[in-house]
Amino acid sequence: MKACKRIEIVIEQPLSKRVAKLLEEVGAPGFTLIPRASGRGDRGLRRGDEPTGTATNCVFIIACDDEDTVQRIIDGIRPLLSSAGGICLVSDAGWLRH
Amino acid sequence: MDSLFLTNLSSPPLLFFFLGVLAVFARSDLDIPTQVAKFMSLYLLFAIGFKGGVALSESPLDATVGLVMLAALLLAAVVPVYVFFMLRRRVAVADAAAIAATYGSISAVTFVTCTSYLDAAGIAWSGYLVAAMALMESPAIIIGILLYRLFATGTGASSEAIDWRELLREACLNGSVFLIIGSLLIGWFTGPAGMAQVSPFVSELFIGVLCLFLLDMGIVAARRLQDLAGSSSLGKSNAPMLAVMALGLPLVNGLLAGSVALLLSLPEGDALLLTVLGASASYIAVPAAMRLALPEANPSTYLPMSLAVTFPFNLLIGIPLYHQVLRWLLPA
Repeated sequence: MKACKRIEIVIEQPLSKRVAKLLEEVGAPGFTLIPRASGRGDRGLRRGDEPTGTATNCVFIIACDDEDTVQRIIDGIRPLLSSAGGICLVSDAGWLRH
Repeated sequence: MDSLFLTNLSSPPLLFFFLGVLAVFARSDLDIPTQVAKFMSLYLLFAIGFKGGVALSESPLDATVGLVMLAALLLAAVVPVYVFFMLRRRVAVADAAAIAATYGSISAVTFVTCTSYLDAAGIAWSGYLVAAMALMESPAIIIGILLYRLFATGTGASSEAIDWRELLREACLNGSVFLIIGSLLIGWFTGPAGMAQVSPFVSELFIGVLCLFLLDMGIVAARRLQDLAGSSSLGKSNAPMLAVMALGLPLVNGLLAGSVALLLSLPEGDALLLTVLGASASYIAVPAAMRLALPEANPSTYLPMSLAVTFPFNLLIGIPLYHQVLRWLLPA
């Protein structure tokens, strides 16, 4: 297994296209998007129960083995999280190459 | 007046809305899957757009239609301006702009419910009001963003570049606006012959689907009301003020729209629909656009206001109240 960073970004669903575009711009290797996530944060409860999807979160999962790319992702996502809320978690992980 | 309220209260769609509210407060596990609710909302937009288009094809396009469209656009542009200035000293500028946009835009479901109220009462209404509804969805979004850009200071966000292309696409071509306008044009183009082909789906299922959709909206609105009551993100001093605003704004905006309807000498059904459009607040198009263009605005502020307070108020009290006032003021 190859050592890598696992990046998880929880953000409101309407902003998912913007995050996907940002990841492409900073050269992230790819991502998995889990839609319709719910939960509670400092901006209140996101129940994920509306037909509109406005008050619904989504989760991006990115595996990245390049430190520079990880830093670019963090630098790129920080302003968006500051203005829109959400969280970004970075942890060590093992990448099962196949 | 009592009879209008009683007629409204005894309508199945409204009763299903309150069944949804009751389900939440009684802690029932009743739940409608999100994708089913989304399908029902698409069906309602499609059906109302198509019916409006067919009605439009059967009536002449005269000066009144043009004036109503112009009035609808003006209402959608003026309302957010005064709502913004009412709020900008009381809440954050971003929240004031988002609330202003929310109340400048409209609620398609309130409009649809009002058409079913009119149909049940046997009062005619014109198909072009559907086009007016579609026109009123978007201008408030642009006005809200412009107000924010003009008045936001020191946050840094105001100097951030807005992707106007993305915003305009979201404001003018979001799914609900696109479907209403598309269905309206198809209904207009195909006319009564088209209606004959899709009538069982568009007409006979309509009230049943509206009942189920309002059941879901009752559940969602009651949950948002609980959120509004228990929200710490609003600030304890702001929540009561915003709740009062959410009750007062539909009255003020409805008064303005109703006055315009009277000035234009619209018939009873059309006057009520224009009033309801003015009095309603968006919880679909605007919140989605605000999340993109104004992420600093807290959706826990403007979404519960429109969805948990203004929407039920208009369904329960607003529609029969505006109707009664219009009846008093309209020439016999």
